[in-house]
Amino acid sequence: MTTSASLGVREAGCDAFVRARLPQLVKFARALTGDDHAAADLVQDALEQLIPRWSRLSGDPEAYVRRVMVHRRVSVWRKVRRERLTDRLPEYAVSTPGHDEELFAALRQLPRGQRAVIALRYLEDLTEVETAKVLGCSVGTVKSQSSRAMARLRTLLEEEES
Amino acid sequence: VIPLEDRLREALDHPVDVRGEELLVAAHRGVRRRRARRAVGVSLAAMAAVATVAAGLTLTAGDRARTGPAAPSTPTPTPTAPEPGPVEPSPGYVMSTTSTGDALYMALLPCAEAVAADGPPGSSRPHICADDEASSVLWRYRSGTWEELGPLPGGVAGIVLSADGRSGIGVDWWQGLWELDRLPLTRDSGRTWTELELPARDVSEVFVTSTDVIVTTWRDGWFAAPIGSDDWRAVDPPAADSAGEHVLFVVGDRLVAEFLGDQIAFDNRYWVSEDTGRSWDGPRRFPGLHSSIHGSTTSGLVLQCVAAYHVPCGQYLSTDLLTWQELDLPDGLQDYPLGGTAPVRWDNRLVDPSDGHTLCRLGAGPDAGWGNWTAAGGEMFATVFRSYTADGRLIEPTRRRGTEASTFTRTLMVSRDGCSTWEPLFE
Repeated sequence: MTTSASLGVREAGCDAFVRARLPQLVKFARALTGDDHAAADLVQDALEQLIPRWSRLSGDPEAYVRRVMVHRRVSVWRKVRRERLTDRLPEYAVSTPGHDEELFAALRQLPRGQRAVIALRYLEDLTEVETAKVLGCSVGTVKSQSSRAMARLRTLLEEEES
Repeated sequence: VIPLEDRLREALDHPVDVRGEELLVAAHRGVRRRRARRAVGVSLAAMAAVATVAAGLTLTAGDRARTGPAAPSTPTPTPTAPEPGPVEPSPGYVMSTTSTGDALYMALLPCAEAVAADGPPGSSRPHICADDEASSVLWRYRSGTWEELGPLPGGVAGIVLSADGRSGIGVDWWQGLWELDRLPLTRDSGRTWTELELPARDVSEVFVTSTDVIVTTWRDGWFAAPIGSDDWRAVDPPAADSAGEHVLFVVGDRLVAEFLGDQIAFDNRYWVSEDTGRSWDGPRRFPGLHSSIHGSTTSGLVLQCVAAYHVPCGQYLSTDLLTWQELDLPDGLQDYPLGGTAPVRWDNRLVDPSDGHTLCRLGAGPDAGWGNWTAAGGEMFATVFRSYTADGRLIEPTRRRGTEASTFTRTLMVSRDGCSTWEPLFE
């Protein structure tokens, strides 16, 4: 039987993990969404999945959260509320000065699958095989999506510069 | 010049100021809310199951993760939508627009509480929503008349229609379906909806033709089912003699499988199916050496031709999916990836995404930077963000959704004179 005390101990371990890894998780979410605020929402959504499952996780919790974020998007209604009533929704994450907004604007124009490949390859430095495992797709898909994403990014950035 | 790979690594790793404790508290609060909602959802689902047996109705598609266990799988129409009439949409928030050529479809999230506001010049009925209804309503605008088609299933923020405009699927805010384990489906242009149980959870894309629904997944292959049935069958991609995978495109009722080899990023082979993937004709060859499809249009495909040494060699259009015609595009548009169904803004004009020809030259405004363009019935529509004075001060809309969020909304603008002048059609 689960008591509130044991629940508290379990959640404390989870909280320690979150405190230690939150900046990296938000960076990953920012790479997936291309946007600071959507990133914070996505991380919060993923943590809401992680917390109740913490005691049952057998592997790397960060890998679990990454996978949740890749396969999940911010709920429709949270997004809608943010559009309208954000005076009630605090901003949990903001990029520091020097943020390459031009690049993120280009990233936002990629399909979400390609953004996920870019995030895993260039932020998390995963290999193509590791990326394929996280995404649950073939290595061929990772290659093709990565190639397309880079080509599209180059085009978009060249357009912006010209 | 910094290589793109290095620029990506640096940009993605750029520091973020995180209010970690507050985010953590919010996440715990969310967990408690989900637990409470799940408890309520189980009760509601039990009641709904009884009602389903008694009345023969099924639940409309919704956010399953938040509302509880799945409903019965047999697709059954939702209650009939209100009779159409000469009405105007009630105040609300424009979620999305799409077109079938002669008509504009608008998914509107109605205000539960609308507040009158002072709008920019030209405003006729400016308002903001202080609170929202729970789900959206689908409207159709044709020949100057609005028609309410009916409520959209919960969680659905837009509609994707087949080429004939009758069959369609509901999509969420992000135009994706990752959170849905069931597919909202309509066979009467959005008046009534059924639920279709998806054949797999890892859906990557859903297409709808006039006869079938086709689903691609990340891991489990492709599937198709006749509209109105959940009798899914596996669709085998065409056989290729080298390692790689196919990417699926749908043009009208035809399927196109583009081959992506493992050894080289791009390949110039593709196959076409006229019978929803039961048989494939091919391989056919793209022009160029490493060409790849940019995207489908309402009646064809657009590809980017790439020659030896990865030199671009123009964009091509095919409507018969056999022969390809090079598009005569002005400088600058040559490298812009065409394809898709929505008009593209380029060089202060709107161009047709299928062949790049100019639809109209933009006059004064609007700035639809975050919105979208739609062409329907000879008129041009734009969904734009506009700011309103609701509390005595005008706050410009920006990406920072702070306090201004409650004082701006999305307005549907229309131009009836070839994009020279624009006026609000719905606000």
